[in-house]
Formats: sequence, structure tokens, C-alpha cells
Amino acid sequence: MDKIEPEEKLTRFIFDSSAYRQLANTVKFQAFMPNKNCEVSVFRISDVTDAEIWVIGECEVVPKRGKPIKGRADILTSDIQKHGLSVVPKEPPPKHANIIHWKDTKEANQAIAIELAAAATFVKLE
Amino acid sequence: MSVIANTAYSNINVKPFYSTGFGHESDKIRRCNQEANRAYENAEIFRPKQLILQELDRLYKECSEEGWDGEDASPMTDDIYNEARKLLDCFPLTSFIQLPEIIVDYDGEITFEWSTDTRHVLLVNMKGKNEITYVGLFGTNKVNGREYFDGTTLPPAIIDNLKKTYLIS
Repeated sequence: MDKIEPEEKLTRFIFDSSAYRQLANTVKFQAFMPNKNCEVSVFRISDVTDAEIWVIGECEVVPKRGKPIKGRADILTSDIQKHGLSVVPKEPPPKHANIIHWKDTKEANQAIAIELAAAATFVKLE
Repeated sequence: MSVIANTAYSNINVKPFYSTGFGHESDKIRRCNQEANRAYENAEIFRPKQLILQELDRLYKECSEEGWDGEDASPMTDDIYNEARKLLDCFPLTSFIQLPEIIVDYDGEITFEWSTDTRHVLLVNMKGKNEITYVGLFGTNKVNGREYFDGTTLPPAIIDNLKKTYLIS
């Protein structure tokens, strides 16, 4: 699988209203907190249209989460890598990747997740 | 999803009226006291705290069993719930510092979040061990730390960081 370049754009689908600020339309740290396996699931969207991104979410993520998508957090790979994290392709599904190399403590990961949320752009599903 | 009704009011410290008196005047005083207490309990200034305590109770009910997230999340323990409730109880009722959002993590711990924008964020974690940890971003400044929480007094470091979140942003 090909390496993910720093300028590549990624998206994280958001299912919980607690993961974004509804009035300001900005992303909150919860959107980027790693799961028990110390991973955050994202999709590579540099060469994908906006409509296609939502289709990826509906087809690949909604069935697993069992919840409707509320929006997504778009972020550059370089904004993730600057915190010592790595983004590695993990297919299937197509274009899927994981953010890995998280820290050992929840507090350290919260500090990074706050920064990632600040760097991300929230896109609401209309 | 059910809500534990009225439990929030138990945190508002209303002094009960005890009297061994009897007769018309005594009944009148007792009624006046009851009306005053009702007005005190329903005062608008307590509304946000009542609502957030109800929200904490709701989350406790929802997340107190293993696998509450549909996967393998740890339960919120009584110790964590009680510590969170005590911390909320310590909170000053002010118009410029809002009460936090409550997040239950998959490890069963509670995180309180205050934020005014993407770069003014304070997180306080409760583990139910009389120790709270915090992580904050204020513009370009980052803070983190660990404080002993005796269950009655909000640690000064938390108050200082709340000021940074709300007053300096």
C-alpha cells in the first residue's frame, strides 16, 4: 500500500454531537481520541469529491457504527504527524487508514486530540 | 432513556424548618418557611447546576455496567460518580464560567470539558481516587497537572485554568 504524504487530506467521520460545537461548527477533542487499540480511524480524501466522501461514510462506516453521520473532521496528514503520530493505510475498506503511535497516558493523548481538533475543519452533513 | 427525577435537588442545601411549636402562628411560620424553601430550590441561578446533575445521574445509569458502549467499555464506578458529583457541587455559580460538558470515557472515567473555542479548552479527569488530572490549551499555551481533591474544595489550579479558559479567551 502506498505511503501517506504529509500534504494528503484525511477525514474522520463524526457520529456524536458531543464531538463538535454545534453553534461554532468546530471540532472537539473527542473526535480524535484513540480507541482501546490506540488507533483513530480515518479516510484518505485528497482525490475524492465531497459527495463521494459522504458515500464512503454511509457505505463503510455507518453499518459498523449503527448510527447516522453528523459530520466529519477534515485534517491534513502533516497536522497529525507534527505531534509524533503516524498515519498508516489499513485497507479494506478502500482509502481507510489509522492514526497510530499514540502516547501511553490518556492525558497526553487528550492534549494531542485538542490540538488535532483545533487544526481540523468541521463539515456538517446537510 | 430514563432520567432519575429530582435527584439534582438533593445537592441544593436548603435548611429544613424544625419546630415543636403549635397553633395558628406556628403553622403560618412553617408555611412561610416551606414557600421560601420552594422558591430557593427553584431559583433560576440553580437551574444549570440542577440540569448538569441530572445529566450526570442519567450517564451514571447508562454507563454503570460493563460494555455500556455496545463493545467492551468499563463501567463508571460509584467512586467515580461520587467524585464527579462532589466536584460539581463545589462549583461556584457564576454567570461567566459555565458548567462543563460531561464525557464518559471507555475506561469508565469521567472527563469534564470546558471550552470557549478550539484553542481555549480545559479537560478535567476524574478517576474516583481523590485525584484529578487536567489538560488545557489556552491559545498557544499548554498546561497539564494532577491535583488532590478532598471532595469539598475545588483545587485552586482548576479555578486558575477556568479563568484562563473564560476570562482571557
